[in-house]
Amino acid sequence: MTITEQKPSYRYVGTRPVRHDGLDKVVGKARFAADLVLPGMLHGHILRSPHAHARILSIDTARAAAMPGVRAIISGADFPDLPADDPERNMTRNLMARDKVMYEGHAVAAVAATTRRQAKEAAEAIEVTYEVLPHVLEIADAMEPGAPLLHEDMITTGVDPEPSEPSNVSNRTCYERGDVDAALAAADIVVEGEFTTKPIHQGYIEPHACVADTGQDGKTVIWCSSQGHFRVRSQTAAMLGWDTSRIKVIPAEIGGGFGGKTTIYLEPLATELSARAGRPVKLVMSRDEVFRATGPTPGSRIRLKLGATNEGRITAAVARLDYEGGAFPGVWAMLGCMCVVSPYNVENFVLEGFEVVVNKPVNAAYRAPSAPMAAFATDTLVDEIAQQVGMDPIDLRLLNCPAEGDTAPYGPKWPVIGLRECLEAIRDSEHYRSKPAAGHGRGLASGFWFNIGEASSATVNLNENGTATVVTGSPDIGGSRASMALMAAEELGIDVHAIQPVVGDTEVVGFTDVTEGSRATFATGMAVVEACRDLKGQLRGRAAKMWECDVDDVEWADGHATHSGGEHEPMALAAITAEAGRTGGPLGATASLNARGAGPAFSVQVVDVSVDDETGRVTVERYTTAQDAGTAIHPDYVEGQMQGGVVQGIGWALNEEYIHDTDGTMENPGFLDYRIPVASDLPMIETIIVEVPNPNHPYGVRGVGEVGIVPPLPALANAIHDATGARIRDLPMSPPRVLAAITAGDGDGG
Amino acid sequence: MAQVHFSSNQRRLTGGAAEVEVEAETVRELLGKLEEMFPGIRAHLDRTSATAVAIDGDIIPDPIYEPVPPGAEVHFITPLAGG
Amino acid sequence: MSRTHVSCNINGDDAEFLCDAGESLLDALRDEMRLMGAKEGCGTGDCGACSILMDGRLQCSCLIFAPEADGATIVTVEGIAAGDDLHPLQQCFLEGAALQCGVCTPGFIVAAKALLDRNPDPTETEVRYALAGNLCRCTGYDKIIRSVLAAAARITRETEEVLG
Repeated sequence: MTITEQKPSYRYVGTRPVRHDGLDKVVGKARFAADLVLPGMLHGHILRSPHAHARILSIDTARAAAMPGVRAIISGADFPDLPADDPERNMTRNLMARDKVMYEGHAVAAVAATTRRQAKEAAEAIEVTYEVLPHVLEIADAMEPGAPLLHEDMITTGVDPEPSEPSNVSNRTCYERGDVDAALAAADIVVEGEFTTKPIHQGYIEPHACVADTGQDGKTVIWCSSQGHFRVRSQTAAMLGWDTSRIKVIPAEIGGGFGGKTTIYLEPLATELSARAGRPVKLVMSRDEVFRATGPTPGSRIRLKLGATNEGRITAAVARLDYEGGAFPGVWAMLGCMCVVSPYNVENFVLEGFEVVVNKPVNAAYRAPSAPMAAFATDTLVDEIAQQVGMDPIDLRLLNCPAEGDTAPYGPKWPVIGLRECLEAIRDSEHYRSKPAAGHGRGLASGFWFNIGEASSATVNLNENGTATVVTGSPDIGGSRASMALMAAEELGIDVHAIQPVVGDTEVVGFTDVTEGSRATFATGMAVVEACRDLKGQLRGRAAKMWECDVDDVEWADGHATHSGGEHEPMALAAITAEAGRTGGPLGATASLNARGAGPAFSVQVVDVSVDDETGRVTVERYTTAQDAGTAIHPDYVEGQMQGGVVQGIGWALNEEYIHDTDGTMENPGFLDYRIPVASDLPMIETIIVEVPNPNHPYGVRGVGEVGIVPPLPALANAIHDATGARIRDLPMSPPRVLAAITAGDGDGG
Repeated sequence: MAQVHFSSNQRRLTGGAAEVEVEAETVRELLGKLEEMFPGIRAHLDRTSATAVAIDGDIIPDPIYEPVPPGAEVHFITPLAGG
Repeated sequence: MSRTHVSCNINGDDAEFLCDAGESLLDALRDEMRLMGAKEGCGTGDCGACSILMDGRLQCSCLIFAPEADGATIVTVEGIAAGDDLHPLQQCFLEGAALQCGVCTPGFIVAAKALLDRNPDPTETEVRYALAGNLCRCTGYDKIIRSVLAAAARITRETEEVLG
């Protein structure tokens, strides 16, 4: 179902063609990074730390080097040490430990050998002497005075006066407005709570993999699975101390990312091993390595207090958000502050965030990073306000809903946004208008994410038979090639399957930022449209030449050159490309741009659950999500993003968590014990695509990739409360925790 | 004149000022003028890895050559990450 | 170390390969036979990305030792289509947008074929339980389930047409 505000009518945009790369994927031909085999290829294996925190006293590779098949061994000392102020320094130290290991699973050394087994056995034969150091795993412990320090020189920024002693807090951030004390004192209702969430993993099904082939000319070619091969190139170059022109990165198909493949783990290691061995080297992570050594999203502890009037207007918010970024600092708490009350107009607030390091894997972005935890706190308490004032939770949100021109909590004024339309879409849905089944509980929540623009390039070449090739630098995670082709088809007026969308390597297409922040269809799509518009100008010129008329008398409509005076029959694109050699040569255009004006995204979701009061198991009975897509270019893949985000959120809410033992060893590094949702856990996920066009995009696109993961956490908590009366403030709401909450008669019993 | 707004973190560097008016055509010129008004602030604001700028609500990650239209509302904020 | 000789039938063709005694069938298919359709998502039988049919039974090929395949009949995702004619499951996955990144898709196609081979007219719940051993992180399963149900209906319709 789609709810649209005055959308122009399009011929291709908004249709649902079969995706261009689909056939290879259903017959098993699509090439993912681990599928590549090169002649003479060696296999790599990484030795990882068994300790959560330890000083490396020595690494002895002599025995390993003498083992059969071993061609190269590397460790941290084989890479240049970047200066303290280099923005990539922490990345390089995460990829290969120097001096200290910071978490269990931290890479310490790597081996390349003829077979996988030889590489593994040799890696295990490397003798590392450690001095084990005290470690710290939880936010509260890490913030205690006297806690073991991960970084002896880390002074908290954003605090006045600057602290004289180092700590595990890298940064404090704060957003304030109005007079929050007065507003709380004047509030009719004050609700508050402390909320915690655990680190969880992006859980892409394809483990990280790459092949690097370094030639005698000192250049390397890397095939890898990533969300952005230009970043793979720059980060690999930074870690090796190489010029980027020595590195070519060819994007393989990517088997899921969700933010977790916006940074790198393997490529510089494979490149260095290949350089030393003089042969191609393949590195493929096991699932265990993916869990132990790649980016979970932060665990969090959020204390929130909201004040409201009896009429349901939210007047004050005080938030304290602590995020654990893993072993190196991130920007997670800052993002949390910027999101925590964004779906609401609040006049008075203090939003304070602390970024904490702990001895766990270094965090990576995960779909709307930091927003879901913040929304968990906010939309749970908003539900409590609605209950206390006796208002429908949608009416309460509509009353507090920001609109264009209102000031967002993080400073700027809101552009055109579609939160109100999403709320109304859920309010008017059959799901919301029908009563939950007997014994079921219903929960509602909203969510916000910024979306971003950044740099994109596209090259569009017209072939002599009237087809087109669209080359972009955006890896296709979930159908973006089809979206690029649809926008090009709309511009050029040729069939979407006459267009071949291609993801080009770092040497065939202009610089393009990572596929992240819901930006590919928005920003790279903008570059495709710009290149197509350039081409249409060229096509008009060629038609004018063929017709021997003034170019101003030629227009482009529906895939044809048309003569304004009607002196010539419309001429199809293919007729012009067939003559291109005689009218001036090949027809091609390139556009490179910094996309501006990404449209903020909102989603509103409603869920019905049942709760087994003997086991505490929560069953999702019905789920509906409404999300503002701006314009849905390919509605199937917009729905797919919405549904995928929701189900990841359901997993986060109900099951998923990193479990560490007291030594800092991850206890559940596999899909059996780290349980992501499976088909039998779920109902269909009903979708309502809301279309409030983004005025900054030629087709009105907003990113759709991320915001869907934000509302499920509070929506499920609210539904469980509705079903059982228990308010659960700690994730995951797994059966033992739900059972304990029901048994204890937690919460307000409402 | 552009309206430059400071977050509470940044107000440590502006002597508490939440908002100033600055005449500048680009972000680079704006940063220079802010540095004259609040010595030391430039080092804090002009770090591509640490600061983005929002000009009339449009968030720009690496902004120093960016034009600042007359009457624009300018915020220095955290650069966004994304999944 | 001497390697084990294995003879089997893969996707209708007789096949032979050498493997280590402790090698998984998944590794043998990929490394020895260069059949890259089955994927390793976990190596522990939890994700189903390596699903194959062995003597008609759905198996995680990462949990089978390669020598166990001696004498067996194996079908991988590469053997599901009849030449250029896609299986209705493949056609419905394409039309129903049942894939995003596509890395789990081979396993889902194989597992869904195993289901439809024994139960040509499954309910939604039966499809969900039959595919519960296959993880997909992108789609939330909605379009996969719909596409399997659509394929079942198409197969039934085509069978009825053939039978007149």
